[in-house]
Amino acid sequence: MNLEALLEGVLNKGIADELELVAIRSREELTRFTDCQVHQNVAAVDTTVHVRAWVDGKTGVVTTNDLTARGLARAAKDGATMARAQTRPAGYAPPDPRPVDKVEGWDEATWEAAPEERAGLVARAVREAGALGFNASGALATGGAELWVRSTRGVDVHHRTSSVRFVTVVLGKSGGSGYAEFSGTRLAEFQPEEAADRALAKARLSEVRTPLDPGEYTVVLEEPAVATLLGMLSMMGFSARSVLEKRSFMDGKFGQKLVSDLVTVYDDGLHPGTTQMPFDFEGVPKARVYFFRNGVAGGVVHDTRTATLLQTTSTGHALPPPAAGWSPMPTHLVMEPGGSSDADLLTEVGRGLLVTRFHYARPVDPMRGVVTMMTRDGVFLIESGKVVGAVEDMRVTESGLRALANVEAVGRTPRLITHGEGFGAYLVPKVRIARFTFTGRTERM
Amino acid sequence: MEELVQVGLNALHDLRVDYGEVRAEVRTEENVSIKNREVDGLSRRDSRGVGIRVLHRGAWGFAATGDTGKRAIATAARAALEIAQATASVRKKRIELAPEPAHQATFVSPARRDPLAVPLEEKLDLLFSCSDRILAVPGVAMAKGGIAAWRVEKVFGNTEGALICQTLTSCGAGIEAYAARAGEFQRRSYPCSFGGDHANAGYEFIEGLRLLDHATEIAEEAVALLTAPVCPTGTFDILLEGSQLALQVHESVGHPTELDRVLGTELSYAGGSFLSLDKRGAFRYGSEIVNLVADATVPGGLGTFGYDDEGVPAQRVDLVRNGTFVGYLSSRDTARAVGIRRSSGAARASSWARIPLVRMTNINLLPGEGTLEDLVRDTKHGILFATNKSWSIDDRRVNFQFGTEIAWEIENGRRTRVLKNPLYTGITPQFWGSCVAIAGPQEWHLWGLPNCGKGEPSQVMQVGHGVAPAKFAGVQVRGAG
Repeated sequence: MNLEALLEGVLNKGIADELELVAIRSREELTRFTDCQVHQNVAAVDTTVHVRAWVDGKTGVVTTNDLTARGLARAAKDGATMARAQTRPAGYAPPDPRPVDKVEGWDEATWEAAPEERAGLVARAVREAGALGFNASGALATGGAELWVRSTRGVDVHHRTSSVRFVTVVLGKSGGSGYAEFSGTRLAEFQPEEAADRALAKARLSEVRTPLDPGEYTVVLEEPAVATLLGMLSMMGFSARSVLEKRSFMDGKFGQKLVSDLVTVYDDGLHPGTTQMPFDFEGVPKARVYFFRNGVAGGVVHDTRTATLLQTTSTGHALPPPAAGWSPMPTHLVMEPGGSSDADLLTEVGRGLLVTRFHYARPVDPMRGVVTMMTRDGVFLIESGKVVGAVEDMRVTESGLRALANVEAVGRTPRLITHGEGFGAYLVPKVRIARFTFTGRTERM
Repeated sequence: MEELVQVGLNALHDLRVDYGEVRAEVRTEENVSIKNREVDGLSRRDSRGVGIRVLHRGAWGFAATGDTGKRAIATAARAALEIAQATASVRKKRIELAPEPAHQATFVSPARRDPLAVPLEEKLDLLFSCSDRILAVPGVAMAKGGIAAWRVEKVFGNTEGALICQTLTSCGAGIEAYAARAGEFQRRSYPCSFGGDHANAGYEFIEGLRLLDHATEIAEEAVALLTAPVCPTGTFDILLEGSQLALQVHESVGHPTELDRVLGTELSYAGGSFLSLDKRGAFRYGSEIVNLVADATVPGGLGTFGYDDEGVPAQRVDLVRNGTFVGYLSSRDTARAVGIRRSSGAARASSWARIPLVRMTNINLLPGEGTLEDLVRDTKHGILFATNKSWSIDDRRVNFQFGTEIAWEIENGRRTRVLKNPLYTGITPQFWGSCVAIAGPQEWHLWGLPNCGKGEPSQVMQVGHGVAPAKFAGVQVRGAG
């Protein structure tokens, strides 16, 4: 029996007052390499169904990959039993169906990419680094996911997306390090030499590094670094859950100017530059939500639960049902590009740093948007508008809000950055920020 | 499940692979969480599948399927071989395995009261009772709590003749109190943050946590933090309570001793390690009193098992002996790559759909003597840090910064005032070199961390850290905000 018929069958059994079904068919194939050779090559296929059952306004979730009629019915019955075990209703109800846009993000060749093809692309990516005696590491992942959301209320939506993600870290003999990534939905658009060359150039440039004293510096953040900074702000304060729990820096600040008027940041699952997703894991269409519009605090994202609690409408940002404790969450962050070229961003810097990306970012003080993180894979000293050398990695402890308030220029060309696996991505440009705080540096040993 | 493994092994024999292994798993997880007087999440996850790994012509291939039919398993076996063949076509070095006898065994972790069979009503009642006590404290803004339970049943077989059946039952719980005022938000957790403490044990472990007895205390501390002074900046002698020290061990000892990181296979994601091969047996990792072991045999640890996911028996191995770095966590292939005679038995996979990676087991700091209060009494001027709030470390595991939920100033051997937003930072070997005292066995506790991330595709692993509170001299401290 096919999956859609299975879903239809369990919906019609009358097992609970209401049922919501979220089915995810995933294909993950990944080729990993280090020292310019493949060391890991894996493939996994699976389909899971999250069943959210409602009884007397209470709800329970069971997830299963037993795709038999009996298996799905058992999951639904167990979800209903979990719901009955509670004494108080959930305070919200499943969403009614709403129309969703159709978007195309599917490429059969990317979904079906063979291990030989990935190995061949990796071989191209590491060729130059290997010839120069550098250590190229990284991963090339292909596959994708197909998502169905069905409910007894009539929600019936389907979306599928293929995906390709390439990351590489190139290391030199003296500890120089460079990074590059490519994300998209079509493997044919991936040019391994282009990404590899970017990482290799950084590694060569950072072979000689000098230690720099911590302090405040003007920085030019490249796209992966911008994505991390925005991602941390998103986690700390861009969701209605964080506002309801009084831990968001946005709480009570809507309509106020919080950051530079050069900064416009929103979430948009339908933006053509990102990996599009037309609806969330409740089947609610994704709306564009502005967090900062010309520096002014706009809104936060909602799922059905937070929207009910705050008497508004879901923006389509529910996570899969078992992730209730994290939902809602932005998944497709976009920072509006500005007018600066890469050269423009550097030109105004008297003495500052060019940062490739950050590592291990964690919140320190969420109400002020403070995070700590390390630089990684290339930090370069800028003097009189030019990159003059590399410095050792440094620790940042800085407020993301303060940083965005100090934005001086925004790049004109955004790049798609993904942080790991799953739905969603960041479409962000480079930015220049004044007085960015570095609180320590690492040591080589 | 033995039958599923046999189907996979038969397919591998037919395909004439050089080496192959089949792992069938059934995993059941249940998570209960509450916020104030409402259920925040109530979910169960059941997953079953088969993962097949093939070593062929010196290269690995792995394929996994959630379809446990005979045809799907045979297809996965062929796919694993084809992937290995594709890998072999571009490899430079040949992967080989450290030898290991073919074990036939069964291991079941002890659990007196099945945590998955405990009625949901009982779990919710416990959490709501804690929530009521927390919310009864004036000034508290929010109460949270959660109970997690899971069981993994797995069968491992390989073409060398190993056949191992294991059942691991685990659970854990924690509660949190939040206080807020304009522009400020403080949290206190018990017994530790980020979901609480966990063990390979039955529900008796959760009963032993005595969550209800600690609810009022953490609520009062959360409120007190709102008006507490910010932690001062400077160089101090610091004391770390157990759960914070457990995370310190995790980040600055556990991860850098993973041999796959040393060999570069995690470089593009989690990062590498400063513990290059030349440092084994020679590098001064810490002071003379610092002894660290990886012990997968200690009862109740989240990193305790009978055999790892390559069929290697659980072991206790030295990582740091009297302050000197002496050993790595390893798998069969990484051990062989660097000339270590036998795997340390640390190859673990997070599910049937993932390959085994070198992971922590229970990374334990061996105890010294005395109590935490003895350490406090011996401190003239210092700060006691408790319960992790933030953590960050560089990609070589050298520069770290940790924040805790609360700290206490210590003056002339006595805890004095509460301090908020405390941070401390350091360089790994310098920090462990400054370890001047470790409390004794009576303070030693094996903490369970259920959420260690590593690998691509990502894997979340459960690990343990046995520690007693310890004292470190001359550490850089500051306050956030």
